[in-house]
Amino acid sequence: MTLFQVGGVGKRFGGLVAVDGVSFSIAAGEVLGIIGPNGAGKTTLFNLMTGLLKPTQGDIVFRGESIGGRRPSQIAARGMARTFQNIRLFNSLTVMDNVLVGGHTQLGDKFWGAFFHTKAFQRQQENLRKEAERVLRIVSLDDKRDDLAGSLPYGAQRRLEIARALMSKPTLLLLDEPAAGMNTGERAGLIETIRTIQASGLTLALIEHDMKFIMSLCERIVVIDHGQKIFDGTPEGAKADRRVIEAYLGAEE
Amino acid sequence: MMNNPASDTAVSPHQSRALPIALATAALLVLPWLVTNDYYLRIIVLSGFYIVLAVSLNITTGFTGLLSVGHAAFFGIGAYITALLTVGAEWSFWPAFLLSAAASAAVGAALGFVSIRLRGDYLAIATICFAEVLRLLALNWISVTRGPMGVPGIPAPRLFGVSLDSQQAFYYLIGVAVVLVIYTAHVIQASPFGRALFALRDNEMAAEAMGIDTRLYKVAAFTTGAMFAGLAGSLYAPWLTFISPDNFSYLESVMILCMLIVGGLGNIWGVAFGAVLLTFSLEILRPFETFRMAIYGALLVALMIYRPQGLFGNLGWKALRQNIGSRFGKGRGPAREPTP
Amino acid sequence: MVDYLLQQLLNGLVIGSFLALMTVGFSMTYGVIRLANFAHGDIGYMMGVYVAVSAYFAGVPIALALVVGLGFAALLGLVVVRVAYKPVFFAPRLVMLLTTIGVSIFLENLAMVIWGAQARPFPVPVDNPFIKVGSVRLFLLQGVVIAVTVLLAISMHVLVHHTRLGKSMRATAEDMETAKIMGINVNRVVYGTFLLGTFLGSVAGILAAVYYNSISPLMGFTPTLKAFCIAVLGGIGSLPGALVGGVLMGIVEALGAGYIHSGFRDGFAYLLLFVFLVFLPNGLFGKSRERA
Repeated sequence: MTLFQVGGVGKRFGGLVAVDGVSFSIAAGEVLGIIGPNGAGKTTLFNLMTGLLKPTQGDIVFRGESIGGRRPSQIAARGMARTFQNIRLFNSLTVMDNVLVGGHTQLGDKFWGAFFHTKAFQRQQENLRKEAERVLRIVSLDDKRDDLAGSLPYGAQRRLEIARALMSKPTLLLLDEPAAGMNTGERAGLIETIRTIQASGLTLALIEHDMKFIMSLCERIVVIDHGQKIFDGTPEGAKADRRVIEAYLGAEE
Repeated sequence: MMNNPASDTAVSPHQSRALPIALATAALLVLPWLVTNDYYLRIIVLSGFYIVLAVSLNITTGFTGLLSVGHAAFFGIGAYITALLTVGAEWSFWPAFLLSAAASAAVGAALGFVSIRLRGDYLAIATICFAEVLRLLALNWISVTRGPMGVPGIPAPRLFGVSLDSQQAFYYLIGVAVVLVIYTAHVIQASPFGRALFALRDNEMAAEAMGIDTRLYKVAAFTTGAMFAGLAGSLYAPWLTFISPDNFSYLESVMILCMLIVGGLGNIWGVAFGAVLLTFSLEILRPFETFRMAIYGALLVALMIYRPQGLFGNLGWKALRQNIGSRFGKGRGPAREPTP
Repeated sequence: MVDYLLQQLLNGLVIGSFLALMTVGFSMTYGVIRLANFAHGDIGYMMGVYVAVSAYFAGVPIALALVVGLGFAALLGLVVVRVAYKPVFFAPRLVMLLTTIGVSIFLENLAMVIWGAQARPFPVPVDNPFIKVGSVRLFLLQGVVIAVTVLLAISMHVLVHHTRLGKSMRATAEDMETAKIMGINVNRVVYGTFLLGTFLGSVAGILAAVYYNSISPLMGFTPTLKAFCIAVLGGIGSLPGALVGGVLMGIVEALGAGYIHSGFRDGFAYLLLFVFLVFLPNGLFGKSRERA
């Protein structure tokens, strides 16, 4: 079953074409890798998928509904969550609160419940907190829950972003270079974490540079170069594909 | 304890804290009868007004990071609506009071909505322009506002046939407003609503991606702040009995902002204390009018240089410094990112 | 009818000249170090004039007194940036903003303490004959204001595009870190920018004082606010933007005051600025590099 579909999507910044008529789909339950040389337009594509940018052409369909012009918050509420390549945590909040913000789509703001301190409100908060602790355990940050997010080491910050995204109970989770800046040990841990997440029934798409990382996680990859899709298939297929090889060799020159 | 709604969801007092709180409440309740000097009682009431203003601006600027330098305008809207309705149209106070708060909130919502794309300096300037337009309107639309002559003879509110025109009565009136604004600020801080505001302050893009409609929340933050300022203004008019556009100038807005800084941005009790501190020190120095303001300007600069996190500090600020320190060394960080 | 309009347009051009000079200074410092200097008008525009007037009262011939005022303002700009602004260069925006507001409050009230709070006339009466161009009266002072502005604008253009300091300024505005790596003495650039900016501001202040025949300790506040908005409107750091924006603003003000309500003159300006900020935060020409 197709969960998510990009149809001929393009994005132009002035004269610069960052993404040029890209189409692909993501099936429910799969882990899709999106790769490509630096500056190929991967992050722009992610921003289009999550609504941070509006496409200049084409359409994006998520869970059977077009989300092309929607606001990111509306798309998030439909069950899409993401992490950022350059970490974007709420630095002055605690680890716990960062994750609880992720629960926003589950709960809303509940201002009046809080104002009158209702029983129902307290119960919901308690449930949310329990859920947050569970999510923090998945990324092994449960012992850091009262630390400020801004004070965490780099790798922990990346994991916290994943936890925050998980907290919104997404059907589709987009990870933008989740392993960037991590050492080998941390990467192995991250792969384990992502496998756990996948096993719980989530659909994932991730942008990554590290081919080994991609190979060990993804059944299918999409390769982007100069804003265009140049390959869509298995990782093994990509290794043998002439255009993919050229794109990478060309970029390394 | 700010920014940490996680650790104290409990708004209800702890058993062990019940006694001191009861004592403090009792002390505050009898205070106006102990202070026999009318001058000091006036300053105490005045600080009540500034507490409401500072704590409400703290919701907009401290919690949400929206740099507003036009808070006095909302104060003025509330004051003028109440003054004009009770004097000119001879309304009784209470409906005028409700309408003042509502109108101020509505204008706040409108301002928040139109300036949704602005941040930092740009928002600051836009709010100054907005406040100045309103002040100049009050100054020049003489047929309605009487312009620079102001509105005199504003009657005191009446409750069950009793005129609440004594200093003590206003103490209790503004006291209720103070309790209400501080309680609301605490509720916001400890609720998912407040968490969303903090998130939006720390990183707007991430907040939006987590499902928070940042536009809505910015407008909500503006509206809440404006509503309380309007409410305070509505009480301020009958308290002074005479208001003019001069009462709601740009300097007033800056003053309120300074109270936030002195108390520590985001820190509710700190901000309330900052309001009291600044009100008292400026009132006591009033005989030295221009000197006082020159000193105030110099002290503001000194405070910014040596203790920008306020007298009591706040966690948000610490996090900011810590974060910058850890990545860029020596606490000297990127100048542009941090909030607000 | 047409005469009245032309006369108002001419008035607008003069007002616009003051604003343009203010804006160039403001925009330069904002462009180079992203510091919205709320005390800009107090340092140059106001203090320069007062010092010049004081020097005149102390017996200095007026021409020399004006030079003293200009020099003092430029120097004051340096002192303020060194003492008050430098420590907060890397602080969050709110801190920078309140620092400049603090300096502004300090200077305004210091001026009131020294010279009194009341507005007063410029002490030297200036002969102000006019010539008739068609039926529009062009006063000598108006001619002087416009000529000085044009002259300074040309000098600034040359300075920014054809001197070492100008190149360093542009490089620093583009990217301070890179400028540092390229061996530019960023501190010197910042001081230079402030020196120039306050100098231009005090020229505007002196021209305005003579033209309106009025000085007051609060005369710097409104032009500063307008300068910020015009800087945004014309594109931060853009010289032509500041000139065009300033003149545009001046004309709107003059027309609003002339045709609708003279007391609400500044109100029109603020309203327009507010609308522009809200709807065109990237400036008329989309040049502004940042929005926050």
